[in-house]
Amino acid sequence: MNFLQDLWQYSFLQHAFIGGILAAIGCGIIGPYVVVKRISFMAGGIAHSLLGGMGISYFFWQDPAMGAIPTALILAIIIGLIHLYGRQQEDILIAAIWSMGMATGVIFISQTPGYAVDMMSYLFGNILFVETAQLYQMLGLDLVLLLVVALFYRPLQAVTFDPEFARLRGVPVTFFYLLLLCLVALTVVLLMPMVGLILVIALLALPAAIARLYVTTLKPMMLLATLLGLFFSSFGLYISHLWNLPTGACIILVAGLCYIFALGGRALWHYRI
Amino acid sequence: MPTAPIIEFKQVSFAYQQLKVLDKVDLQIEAGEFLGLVGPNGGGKSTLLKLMLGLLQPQSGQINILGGKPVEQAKHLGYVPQFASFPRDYPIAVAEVVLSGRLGTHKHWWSRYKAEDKAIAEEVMQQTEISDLAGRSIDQLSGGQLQRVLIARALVTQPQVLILDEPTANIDHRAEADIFDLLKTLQQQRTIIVVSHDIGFISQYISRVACLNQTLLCHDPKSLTGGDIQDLYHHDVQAIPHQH
Repeated sequence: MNFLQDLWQYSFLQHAFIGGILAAIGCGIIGPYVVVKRISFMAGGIAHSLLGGMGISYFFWQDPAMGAIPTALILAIIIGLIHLYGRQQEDILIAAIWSMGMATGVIFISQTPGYAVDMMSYLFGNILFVETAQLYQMLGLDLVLLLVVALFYRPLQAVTFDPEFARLRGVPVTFFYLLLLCLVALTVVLLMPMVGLILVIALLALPAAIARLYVTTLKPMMLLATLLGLFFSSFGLYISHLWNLPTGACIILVAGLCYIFALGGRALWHYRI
Repeated sequence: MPTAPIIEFKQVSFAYQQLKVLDKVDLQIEAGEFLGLVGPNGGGKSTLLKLMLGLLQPQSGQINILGGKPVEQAKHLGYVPQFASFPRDYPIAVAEVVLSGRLGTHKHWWSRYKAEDKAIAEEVMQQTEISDLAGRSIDQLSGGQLQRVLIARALVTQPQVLILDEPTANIDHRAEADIFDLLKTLQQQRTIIVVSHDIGFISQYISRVACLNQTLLCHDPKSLTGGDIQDLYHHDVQAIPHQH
């Protein structure tokens, strides 16, 4: 097959493929929490407003990626606190932060001297141009996510399942809730080179949502979501290479179509019985 | 021999903003009691439980739980919430739910469950007859089975008091009787408080009934009459006289 030959031959395809594996691990571990806790709107808020931090970092230090991790963590905590203490205006406040973050990013990028950075690559991903250093950063983020989830699997599960009961057992619910949102924020940064900020929520939520249709506990859901994420990123890469289309968009369309087919298939299955 | 009450409310009042929910409530619960807390919806039952558990603070009055403040003593109270308090489609196995009751006993939040935790969970699951459901996820359970799982999760905390909020609201009458038979056996070792709006059914199980509608009145369940119930609900209710 032509794609496999090219993959063997070209290092940029190999980088993209490895990036896909690293992204799949992240979305497989954290995606299930986003789905079962129904926080994809909050995850979207973190992802989109992240552009603000990247614009500021680009303006002052000529390096957009530098500001990504600290900004993502700060946004996760702000949005988490809004959820915990600003219940009545929650959706409007998050929507405001969502768009203000993006607007800030646009302004700072427009004011940065020198050549205009290719904003498209942050918004929609640039996995074909990913550098080795970026792959190491993705690997590092994966290790952090794996370590934290492995250590705190039980309290994270208790807090996301029944926070009131967890609180009565003395579990620091607020801490673990904010920790979870910080993990989501790190996953957003991890997935950004793959599909870009705009499309990140889809890759975060869709593999886990499909997995949920077939498994009934959290750990198998993480495993299946990882495998699905791997399939979506490599198949999306294949299609994008075949027809010369943007990679991130191909990955998301593959994932989205699979989700719709999975839902439809399940509905038909139930109808049959 | 009179002993000090394990739960004591003295002139406790509580309001959500302007809306008064509890008005100078006095309540004493002795060790080993099986107390039914009944009253209409919005009468303050859940609020009273939340005060007991330290999730809310009263505006006036005093609450004493096992000789201390509710917030400090909550770990000795086994709480069985209503189904609505958690997502029923959460992908979690029965054994995981039950074991999660052991979380508060660990020194570190990263500790795994110890052999002791698993032994306690197994014993409790046998007692509540859910051992064969251990590997199932909660979305595959009937209402009665799920209620047993929640009771088991509360029991693994080895509580002195078991508190159940509307334990029979989502299950059929057959399962309801089974749940109360289970509670009756559990009562031999501990105090049980059951909140219910279904007043007729629980009266044959409980030792005392507290009727709550802003104010609180206690009755011996055997002497509870249609008149008392009418006073409580402010309108006619269907009351069926029954033998105990």
